[in-house]
Amino acid sequence: MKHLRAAALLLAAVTLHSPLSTLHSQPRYTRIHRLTPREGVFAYARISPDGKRLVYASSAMRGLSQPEWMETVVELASGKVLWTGPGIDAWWSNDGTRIVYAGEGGVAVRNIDTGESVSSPDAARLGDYFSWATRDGRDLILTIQSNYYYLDRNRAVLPHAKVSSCAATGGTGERPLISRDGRRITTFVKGNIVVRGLDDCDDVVDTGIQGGKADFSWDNRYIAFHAIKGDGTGYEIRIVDLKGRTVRTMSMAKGSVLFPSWTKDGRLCFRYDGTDYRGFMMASGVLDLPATPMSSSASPALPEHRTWREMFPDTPSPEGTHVVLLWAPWSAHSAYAFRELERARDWLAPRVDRFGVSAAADPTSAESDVTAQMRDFRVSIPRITISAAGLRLSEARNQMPTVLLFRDGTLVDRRLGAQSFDDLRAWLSGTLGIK
Amino acid sequence: MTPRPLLHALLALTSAASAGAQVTSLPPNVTAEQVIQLEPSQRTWYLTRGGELSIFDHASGAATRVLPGRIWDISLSTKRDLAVFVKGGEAAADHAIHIVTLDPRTGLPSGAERRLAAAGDAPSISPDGKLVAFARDDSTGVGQSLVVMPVAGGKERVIAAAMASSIRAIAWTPDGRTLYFGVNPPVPCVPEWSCLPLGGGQQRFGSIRRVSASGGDVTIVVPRAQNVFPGLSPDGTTLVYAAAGNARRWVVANPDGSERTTLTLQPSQVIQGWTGNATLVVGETNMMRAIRAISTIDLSRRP
Repeated sequence: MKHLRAAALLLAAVTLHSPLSTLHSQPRYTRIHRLTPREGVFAYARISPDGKRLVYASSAMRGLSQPEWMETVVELASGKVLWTGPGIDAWWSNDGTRIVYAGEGGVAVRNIDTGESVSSPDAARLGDYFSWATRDGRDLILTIQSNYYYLDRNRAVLPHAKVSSCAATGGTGERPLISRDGRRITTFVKGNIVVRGLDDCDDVVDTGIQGGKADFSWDNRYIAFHAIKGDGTGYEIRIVDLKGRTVRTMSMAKGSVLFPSWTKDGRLCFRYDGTDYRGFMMASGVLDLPATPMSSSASPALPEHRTWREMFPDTPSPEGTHVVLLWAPWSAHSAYAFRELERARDWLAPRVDRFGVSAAADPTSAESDVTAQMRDFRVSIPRITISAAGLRLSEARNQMPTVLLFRDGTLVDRRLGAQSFDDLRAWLSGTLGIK
Repeated sequence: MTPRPLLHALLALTSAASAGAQVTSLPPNVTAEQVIQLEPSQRTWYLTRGGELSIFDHASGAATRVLPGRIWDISLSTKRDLAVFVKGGEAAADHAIHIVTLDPRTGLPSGAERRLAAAGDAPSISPDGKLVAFARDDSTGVGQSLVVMPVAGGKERVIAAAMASSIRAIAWTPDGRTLYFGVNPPVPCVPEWSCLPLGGGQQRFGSIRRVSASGGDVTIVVPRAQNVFPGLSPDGTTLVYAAAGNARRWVVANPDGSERTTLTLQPSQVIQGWTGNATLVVGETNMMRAIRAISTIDLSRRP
């Protein structure tokens, strides 16, 4: 008996003081819907509030045909396809009966149970990348362009409103998504995920993290989004506790996890892309993951003041106004970005004194790929070089292409993503005071 | 033949390995999205935008529907007496392999269509018309395996298992002993800005591989390709694929992967596949991606 008691005490001591005693439970994962090997998914899927249905936009390469994006709603328990039709960017209503998406007739709202569909063609110009809230009992739709409008019997009520500008964020931010109650949004400021009010500037929370689409939990306390793993080989999911100011990380060794969306009961649906499985999964118990203070997860903030010399030390700093396109051969938008920038250059050069344009390629890309594409695109924009350190100083560390605007050697503004000629003209005309 | 597509097609061909581009224009009644098989001055087999297989008879100018419905990945036997193709199902991602016998004189079905295999893509009929090789989805959704089975139906044999991605451009050597096939680059994240780009160092490419039709080791012939189609020519002498990092620069190579030369295509030009021995078929497309003219490049080696 004495020996047993001693053994029990020893075991207790080992348990209490060993690293095992600080181990948290891990989330439980379930594979819920497999993709086919040729099937590509647009951005992400959305799980219905009750977790029973999944909507996602996908396309599959068929022969030489241009793949068409099709929305599909799947009942997960049976695998039955409830509906499929052309479209992208679907988001569930809070009651889980309808989806809003960009369809053939513009903005479409479809009732999945009844099949009733209402289109609002006039709302299409306000942007897609929808999110749906219920605010003061009314359905509210927010778009990628920071526009929002209410629905009346599933039809957009115009005119729209705009996310308010905040001094703390230097504007409205970009690509917002709304909380279920319609009060708060996640948005991007200099690539970081920032949480703020839809129409006020109270309680702005800069997570300091560069991530993908950030989804609010149903109690509005947490946001979940994917970010690049520390070793750069893929993606992991971060769960930020806005109240506790902590971050949890959900990572899988064999693959990437992307584009999470919450169920009402706190499970997280996401896409998994690995060597062992491609498709959608559900995680329960994600709050069992260990939490660390939010500040420790923050990407190094980009300094406010950045100069040409710091970013392009091998190239003399130009005087006057200079635009630089940061691009990469692996970005499908590079050819378009070059073409549109050349048009903008030709329009701006006669109107702006000491104006120039250059292009710098992602330093991690193969030189043969860079030169081959510049030749094939017939680029007439001079090439300059940027180092890995220089790239880290730009917003292009997470997005290619990116356009930078310099004035007498100082970075004054930037635009993320491929810019059209009209976008460039409007932006630069406004910034440079061109009438 | 309207002069503009002819001139455009001729000007667009650069660095051709050997002689001559021939150009054929298609009349307005032919709404082709893809050319399946070209028999110069005789028949052109093509897919319409709606996914129907049709034949255009060059002599009579008539266009005739061969197979209705949304089909793709069509393979015609050497004798033109068999067609194997992929057909969709209820869900957007459903696909199965079907087969139908054809009357070689007319190109029209001579028997009932039947389903040959589930969850398959990219079928290719063997030169003797007795076997079909195709890509079968793996259960994980990640990749496909190369499978061979009799045209008459029956047992499937896995020749190359669990490739890292989907398979395309399956081709038999003329002696029927070896299969070449392309493994596609992994499906990209779309739109890439929404995913956060990982950087050039993480970019992955497709590859072209070779395996004995009776099974065995798989050899990588081309380790890095942007687009693995059209792959091996019917006479087994030439490989064509899109260069890594440049979807418009095409590499012409020997069957062992050693490069011979390159071709650069214009944005309006889309490679359709092979005809004859080693003749490349290039479609000149309009703004709606419909083919308005077809040009051919003879890549066969001269002694």
